[in-house]
Amino acid sequence: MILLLRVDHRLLHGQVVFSWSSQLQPNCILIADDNVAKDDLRKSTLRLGKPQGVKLVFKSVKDSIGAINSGKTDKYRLMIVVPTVETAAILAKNVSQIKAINLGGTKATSQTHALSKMVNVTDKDEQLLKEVAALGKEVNIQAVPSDPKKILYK
Amino acid sequence: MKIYLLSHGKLASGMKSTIELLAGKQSNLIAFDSYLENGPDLLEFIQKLAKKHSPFIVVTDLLGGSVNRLALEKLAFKDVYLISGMNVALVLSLVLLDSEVSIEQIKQTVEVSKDTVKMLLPNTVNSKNAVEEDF
Repeated sequence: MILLLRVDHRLLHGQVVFSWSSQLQPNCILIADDNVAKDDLRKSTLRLGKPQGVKLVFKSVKDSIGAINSGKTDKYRLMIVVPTVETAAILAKNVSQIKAINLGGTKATSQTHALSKMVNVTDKDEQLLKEVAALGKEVNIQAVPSDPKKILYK
Repeated sequence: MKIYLLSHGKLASGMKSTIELLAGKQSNLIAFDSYLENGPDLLEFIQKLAKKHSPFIVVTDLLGGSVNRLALEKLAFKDVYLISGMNVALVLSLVLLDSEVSIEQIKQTVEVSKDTVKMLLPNTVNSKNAVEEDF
C-alpha cells in the first residue's frame, strides 16, 4: 500500500521522519532518485535519520517504478520521497497505485515561482502536475500532517 | 499529556520553536526560559506546576543544574515524569507519544534519544551503518 508520495528537496529530514512517519506509520520508505541511488555518502547520511524499525530503500526512478509495479512492494506500508516535481510526475504517471502527489518542499531558483512558503515550481513543473491531475490524481500542498491540506489540482 | 520545557536561558523557547518547525504547532508543549533579565521567576513557575492534579512531563536541560534540581526538589512527591538532558530527538519523540502514555514508553523514549548523541566524523561513512536494504 502506498501511503504517500512526497516531493521534498531535502528528502528524509526531521519533518518527514517525525511528523509524516509518526502519522502514517510506514514500515518502508523508498527514496526514488537516480543521483541518490548511486551516491554512497548521501545514502549513509540519509540512513542516519531513518525512523526505528522502518526499512529504507534507495532506487533509481526506473527501478522504483519496476519494483512497485511488479507487486513486490504491496506487502509494505510504503512512503515514497522524491526530490523533484519531475520525478514525482514520472512516478505518478507510471504507477497506478499512486493516487496523489504531496508537495512538501522545493527550492526557489530564478526559474521558479512560489506556490507556498516552501513550494516553488517552474512552468514546466506546473504543466507536469496538471498532466498528473488529468489522470484523476490529486496534487496537494501540506508541510506536516497537522497543517491544513491545500489541494492544488484534483 | 502536557510537556514543560525548563532551561537556563532560551534553550526551552528555542527548543519549542524547533519542535514546532518539525512537527507542527504543539499546544501541549510549554517552554519556560529561566534566569533572563526581568524574566518570570522559575521557582514560582515550578510551584504552580506542583499544584497541578493531572500527570505531566517536565524536561530540563543540564542534569544536576539548578533548574533540574529545583524541579526535582519541588516536584518529587508529584505524579510527574521529570527528564534531564533536553535534546531535539527526545522532545520530538515525547510530543509524538499518545496522551495515554505509560511510564515504560517514556523510559524507552529517553533511552532511544540517548542513542542519537553520536560522534560521526571521522569514519562514519564506511561503518556498519552502510547496509543496503531492498524490498
